[in-house]
Amino acid sequence: MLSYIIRRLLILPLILFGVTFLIFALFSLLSPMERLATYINNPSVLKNPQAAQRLIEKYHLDDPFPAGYIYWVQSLMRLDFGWSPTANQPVWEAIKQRFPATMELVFYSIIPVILVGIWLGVISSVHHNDLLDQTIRVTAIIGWSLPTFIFGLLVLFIFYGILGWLPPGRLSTWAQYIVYTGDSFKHYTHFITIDALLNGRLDIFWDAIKHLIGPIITLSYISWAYLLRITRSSMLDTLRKDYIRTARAKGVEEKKVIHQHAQKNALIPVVTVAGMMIIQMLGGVVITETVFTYPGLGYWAASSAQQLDYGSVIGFALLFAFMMVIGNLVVDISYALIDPRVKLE
Amino acid sequence: MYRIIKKLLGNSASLIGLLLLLVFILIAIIAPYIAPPLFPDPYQIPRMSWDIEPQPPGFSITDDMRFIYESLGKPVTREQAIFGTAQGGYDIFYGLIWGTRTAFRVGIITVVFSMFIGIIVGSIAAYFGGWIDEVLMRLTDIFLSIPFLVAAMVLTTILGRGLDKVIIALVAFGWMGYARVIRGSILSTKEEAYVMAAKALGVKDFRIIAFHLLPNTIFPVLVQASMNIGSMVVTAAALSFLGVGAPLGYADWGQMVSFARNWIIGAPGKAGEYWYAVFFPGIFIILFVLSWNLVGDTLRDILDPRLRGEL
Amino acid sequence: MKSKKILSIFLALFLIAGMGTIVSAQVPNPDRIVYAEIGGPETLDPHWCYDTASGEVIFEIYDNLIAYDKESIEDFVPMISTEVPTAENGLISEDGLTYTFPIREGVKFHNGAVLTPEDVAYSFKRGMIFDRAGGPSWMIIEPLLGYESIEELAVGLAGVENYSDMFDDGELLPEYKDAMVKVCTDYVDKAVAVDGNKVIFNLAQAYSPFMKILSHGAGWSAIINKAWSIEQGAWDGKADTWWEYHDPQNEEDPLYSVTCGTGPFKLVRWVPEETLMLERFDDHWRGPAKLKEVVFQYINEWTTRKLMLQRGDADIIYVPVTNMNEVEEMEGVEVIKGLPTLINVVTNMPWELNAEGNANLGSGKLDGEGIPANFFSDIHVRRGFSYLFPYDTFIEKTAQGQGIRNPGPFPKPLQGYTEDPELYYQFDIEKAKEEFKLAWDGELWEKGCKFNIFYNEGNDVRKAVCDMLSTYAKIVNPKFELTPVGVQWSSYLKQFLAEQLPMFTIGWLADYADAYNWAPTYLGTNGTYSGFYGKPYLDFAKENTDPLIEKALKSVDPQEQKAIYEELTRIAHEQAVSLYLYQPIGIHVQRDWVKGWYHNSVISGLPEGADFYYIYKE
Repeated sequence: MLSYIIRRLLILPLILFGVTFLIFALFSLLSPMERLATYINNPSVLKNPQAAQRLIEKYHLDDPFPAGYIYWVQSLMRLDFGWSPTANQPVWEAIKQRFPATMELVFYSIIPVILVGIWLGVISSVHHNDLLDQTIRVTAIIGWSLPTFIFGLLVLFIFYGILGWLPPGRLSTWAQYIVYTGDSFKHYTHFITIDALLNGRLDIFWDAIKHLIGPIITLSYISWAYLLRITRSSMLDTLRKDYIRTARAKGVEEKKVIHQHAQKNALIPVVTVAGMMIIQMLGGVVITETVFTYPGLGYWAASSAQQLDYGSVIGFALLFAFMMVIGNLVVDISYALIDPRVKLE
Repeated sequence: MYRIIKKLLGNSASLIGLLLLLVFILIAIIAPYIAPPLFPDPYQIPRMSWDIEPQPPGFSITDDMRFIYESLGKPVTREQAIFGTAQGGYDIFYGLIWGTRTAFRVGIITVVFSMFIGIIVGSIAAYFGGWIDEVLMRLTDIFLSIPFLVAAMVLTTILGRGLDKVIIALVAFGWMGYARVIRGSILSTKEEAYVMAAKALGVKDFRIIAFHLLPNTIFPVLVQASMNIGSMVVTAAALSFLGVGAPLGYADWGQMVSFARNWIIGAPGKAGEYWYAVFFPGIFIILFVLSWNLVGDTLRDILDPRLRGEL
Repeated sequence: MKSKKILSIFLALFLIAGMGTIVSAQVPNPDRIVYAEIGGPETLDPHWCYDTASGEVIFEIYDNLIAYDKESIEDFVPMISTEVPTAENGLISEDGLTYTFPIREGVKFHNGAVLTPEDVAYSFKRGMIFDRAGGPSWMIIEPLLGYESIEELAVGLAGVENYSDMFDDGELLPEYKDAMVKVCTDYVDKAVAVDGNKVIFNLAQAYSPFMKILSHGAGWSAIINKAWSIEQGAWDGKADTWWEYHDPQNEEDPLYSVTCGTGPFKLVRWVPEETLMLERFDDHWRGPAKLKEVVFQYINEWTTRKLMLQRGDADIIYVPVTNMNEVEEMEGVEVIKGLPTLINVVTNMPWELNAEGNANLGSGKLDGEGIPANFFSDIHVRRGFSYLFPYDTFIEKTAQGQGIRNPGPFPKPLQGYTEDPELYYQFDIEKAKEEFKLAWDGELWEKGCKFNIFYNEGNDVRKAVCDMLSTYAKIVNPKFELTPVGVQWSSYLKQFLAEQLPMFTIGWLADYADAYNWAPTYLGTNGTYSGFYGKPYLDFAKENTDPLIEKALKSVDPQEQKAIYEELTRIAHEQAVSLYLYQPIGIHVQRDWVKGWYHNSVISGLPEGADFYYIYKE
């Protein structure tokens, strides 16, 4: 197992290298003048063509591909990720500012997904093929078919526009004032909900939760449909296993069969999927955060991709790739720990 | 095969899905008859007025527009925008009808091409194994490590606007799933007796992959593909929503929804006054995706070997 | 059973969440104002700032020597200076080359330090040596030094071809050191001098808009704190170091995120692209502001901003004109319309394009399959298109009535703007036909033309412009094929710089409220846009427009200036240099409890935002 972990960790730099190289190669398809568009959003600031040339030189936009890449990697070695014109701050600062917000969102999204998804999946499999199963399935498929941006805008419309319950953003202005200014509010984890509890500020805790519910629903409704499918087929599979039949034949109560015998084993693959889902959600935050103007990584990544801000895109992609490799590793290990039959090779 | 079709028709969910698909295919085929184009490029949605604000269903074409089309020798056959107009005076009905063709094109071309790449990469990796497998799979990992939507956005922004660019971007970052699935299933079948036998007989590697391995391993990929057609259309729509999809005025559902983005709520007291701008395009996307998912979902149940004989 | 439990938990969550909002929404905080807009500041360094979002924050934090008198864009009131220099009070010399500003005493910076004339001089000197590429410093360098950039001056003194030739790996080569020191001692230092409690500007040339360049709202002329700036790592004011502080990389600008001004508000916290919070500065020299806190929220999604306004979570929001109807009848919301802006939108027709590798010209010949590179150098082509655009329909429908027409490059109410109907082209297909028949000796009419016209993607207004031109061209003559092409901004910029765009629509937003900010831009040889019109135009401009522009700049007589700028408008009309599409009219949207708002068309961020010093809630 240890050698497996080491091997996987050795691959990590390779993947990170590959990711940066790939994105950089994509951006080198652009001419220097096109890349200037990242820094200039209105030609009126260029008094004359010389100004354009000065800017191209200043930002090393005319470096040919390998040289530009080497220049970028060199500054990366000094832990300098460069400047993000999209975020108007250094890329590293931008990541530090947005990462906790996104993690908080993903963390809270995964909870209802696991609860609702698994629970409905089990019901669906127990009532295999009868009306309830079909209804749940079709509802899941309809959910799956709803584009996130339509769904998100609807949530915003109903719960903020009409009911006024779930405001967009991350905090109300009064709470922002307390959280961002002065020394009275201590940042321990940068998860605002948790920090608020640690500071004993229940009002801020509620404010943060209110802002989170909308994005959580939007981010997770597709995932629970997916988890439901996995749970359902895994349960169906398990329910047909010999030991379940034996249990049933022995006259064990049906409820007990399902909840104690079957569910336990059926959930092993579900754990894996749920783990990977957290990582996938990191990619899925782009639209959710855009709709709710939730100030996280996804919102930023979307605007930097549009503005061809390659430093920021690479920064985001590196972080994502890192999380992905580590996350997969953790999932594999925990899988091996839960199910002794699995051997990591 | 017969068994599969019978099951598809016997299951009410998939039956609905198939019927919906049929309707969409029909719309795509007869598009020129129900919405005759006014421009040489039929995918260019005609404007019913120059208004930026959406106009409600039943809105009649304005006089200056009628003048334009008549001067261009294109008599106006549809006087009214029966689904209303989107932001910019574009006829929603026309956009949706021709958008059906766009949806099929995006969905099918994207899925076919990415499946093709995926099958090639996956089968080569699995069949030859060793360092080839290692290299190809690490390459797959690298592509997988970039969030799909962000990668697609970057590539479309770089290539410029246009549906072809969207398709390229979706294919370039959409083949990895197929590669993994096909590799997995080939790994489990390549040790079987009939493959060994073919090898021993000196059959060429290419023939073994194409005629012995693939036919027996391709079903899970097909199921995945059928479900992906829907999700690819949604992704393309999302790209339009984020501002990097089809060009303005192109008959594309995603763009029609993104036109509605700023009008989704309407003035207070008149909540939802622009409901048509989001409702019609939204319902088309949802039903289209739904139909593929219903079919794909049932297919999966049928083809899932673990469930065989249970349905 | 489980289902009910989860359901009730969710319901409870919703209820509690709901109650919280209702309580906080009903009591709008009287001491705090929230302004929701799109796109946050790029920087907080006044000398870097050349964007509206940064400008409006710097406006609140920093003061200038003088300010506009509220709504007026002509009259000034004293600010850090105790008097407004005029020719009458002798503070502007007769030749227009010397401006004297007596400095107010006892003005305090946010860190408690007292402002001295030395701070004023330092602010302008740093502005000149800072001069980042694509930045605003040219506006003070041009009048004070007579060059377009500090690099141009340095290159001239050192006798090298490029500024970068003087450096090796970022280090100045010793042989150029004297010349570089001279830039500072002989030019920069002499341009701004301190004499007792006065600051004297010695201009390199008479420069009629100079006062407007200094006025409050112009970040590049804001007064910063010398000692504090040096402490932060900004230029130490020494002649032999300035080049190390010239045109830095973004992350090396020490004043990028810290501020120390004399303005009514001080910075509390800036979270880029998310929020920016200001707090009242109680020692402000005009007396403290009425509001205690000002919060800028950067929300790009229109729907979200609208809902924030509707619920009272935001007091002022930015509303795109296209969505104006959605807020007009909103309860408790005030929509102020018809506000003049200093912006205009123009479709340019370069007289000669760069033909090399230019796919937009089709065959590159006048054979019906393309156009020659100098297609628009024929006046009849330009006039034809000028008659071909449905200006009124465009303003009424696409701009939702929120715009007026300009006869030439000058927007209302600047000099050069006139309502003389003779100087406006009207949409007229017949007249367009006549002109096109004359163009290229009738060859164009016979053979037709084919080329691409561009808009940057996502801009519906510019797309409508292209669509209108394209459809009407086809009506005039079926052989006229103008293909509207939407391109990414990057590609648009590239083709603009490479002079490859046959017709392109672009806007200009005032740097300062003077016709001189517009004349060279659209008509001069070295103009931001007209500089890209190709050689035939540059030759024309050198003869016809440059001398007039120069004369207007040097003139001290407003009547004379007015006549010159009107002459330029006439030339622009006669030559049909561009299609002057429209000048947008702005709107301001706020909750009706916001009081004290006024509009000044040249202050950054107005009319959408506000001068928060005068704002209060009631």
